[in-house]
Amino acid sequence: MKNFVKFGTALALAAGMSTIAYAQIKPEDAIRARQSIMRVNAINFGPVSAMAQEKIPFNKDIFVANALRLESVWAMNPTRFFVPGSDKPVAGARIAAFTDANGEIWSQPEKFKAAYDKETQEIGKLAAAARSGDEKAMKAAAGDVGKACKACHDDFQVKK
Amino acid sequence: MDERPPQSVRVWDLPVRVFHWLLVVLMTTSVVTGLVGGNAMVWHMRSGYAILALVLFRIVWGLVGSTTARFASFLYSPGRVFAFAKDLFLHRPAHYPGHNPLGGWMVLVLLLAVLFQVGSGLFANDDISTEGPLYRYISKNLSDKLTGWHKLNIKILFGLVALHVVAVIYHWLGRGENLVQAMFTGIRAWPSGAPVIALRFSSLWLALGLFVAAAIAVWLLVSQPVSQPI
Repeated sequence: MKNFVKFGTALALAAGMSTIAYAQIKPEDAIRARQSIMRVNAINFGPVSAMAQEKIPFNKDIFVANALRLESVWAMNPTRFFVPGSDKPVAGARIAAFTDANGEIWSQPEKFKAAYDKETQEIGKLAAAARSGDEKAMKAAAGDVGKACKACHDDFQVKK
Repeated sequence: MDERPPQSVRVWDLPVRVFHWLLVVLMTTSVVTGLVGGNAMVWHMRSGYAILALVLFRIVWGLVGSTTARFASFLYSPGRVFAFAKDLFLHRPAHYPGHNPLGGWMVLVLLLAVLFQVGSGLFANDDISTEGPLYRYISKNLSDKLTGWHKLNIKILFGLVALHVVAVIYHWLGRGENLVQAMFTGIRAWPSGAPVIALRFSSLWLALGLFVAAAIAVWLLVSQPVSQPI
């Protein structure tokens, strides 16, 4: 019984700490996490978009694979990693030495969430179109994803 | 003021007129597609390539084309520019068959601004899925900088185009010169009292040849291998 209580306490403590650890993710780790997710999004969206715009020949298998991977990676929700203190790179940090995040992410959280929700919706439509196998719908949905990307970048990326 | 009826003088050759109005159409296309984004970006790039070919043609035409198309004929000395500005300010008549001394410099500034816009676009990236054809040759850092200038320069271009249009409206309402019609027909009214300046017009075949050469040059420049999708 005593051992059980000890084990339970340790477990509770570990669970509690992991929650705390997540909430207190270091700014540089948060910046790296969101940039990594966005980079992988771009890697998957690239061929989808290029096929939609007929820059490269349409290949259904590659299109579908990339569209479904995009849906999975987007489900990681990069917006979770815009934690307080990650609006600027950490001074002297070797990793995550820059961020293009605009201050409005923190000053207009509702608008930011709406932009994220819009992208989630468009990526969902793209994945659905990919599953349906309708080439025309796939290409059109890819265009709408690109527009949602742009809308959010226009509002929440720093001006370069 | 001369009271005799004005005569008509041919001032703009066909290449200059076609260049001007195609540029209007293509710049509008570029602005709209750039704002829309998504799948329209492929047309943003194509429109940019067409503008580049047009501007390259126009620069060469400014060296070997008809009299009124040549830089040497419309880039006047600062003294002439100042004298013309004074004529405008004092509402005195001042007649130039082609670009006037202020307008001539404006043409050069507009051409350079448009050239910078398409030039920066070739190296730009949008952090989504569109990269200029020459993005591969420079760092992402430099591309981001050029993308920033691409976005800044379009605002400068809006200002320049607005100034250009305001000047044309001023010449129409303030000085009774219909420059828009002249840019369509090539012919403008010329006061019979004003001295007629001999204008030479270059061959249309030469213009066509130069434009085809410019288009081929742009096509070779932007035809870069695409990476294989996985």
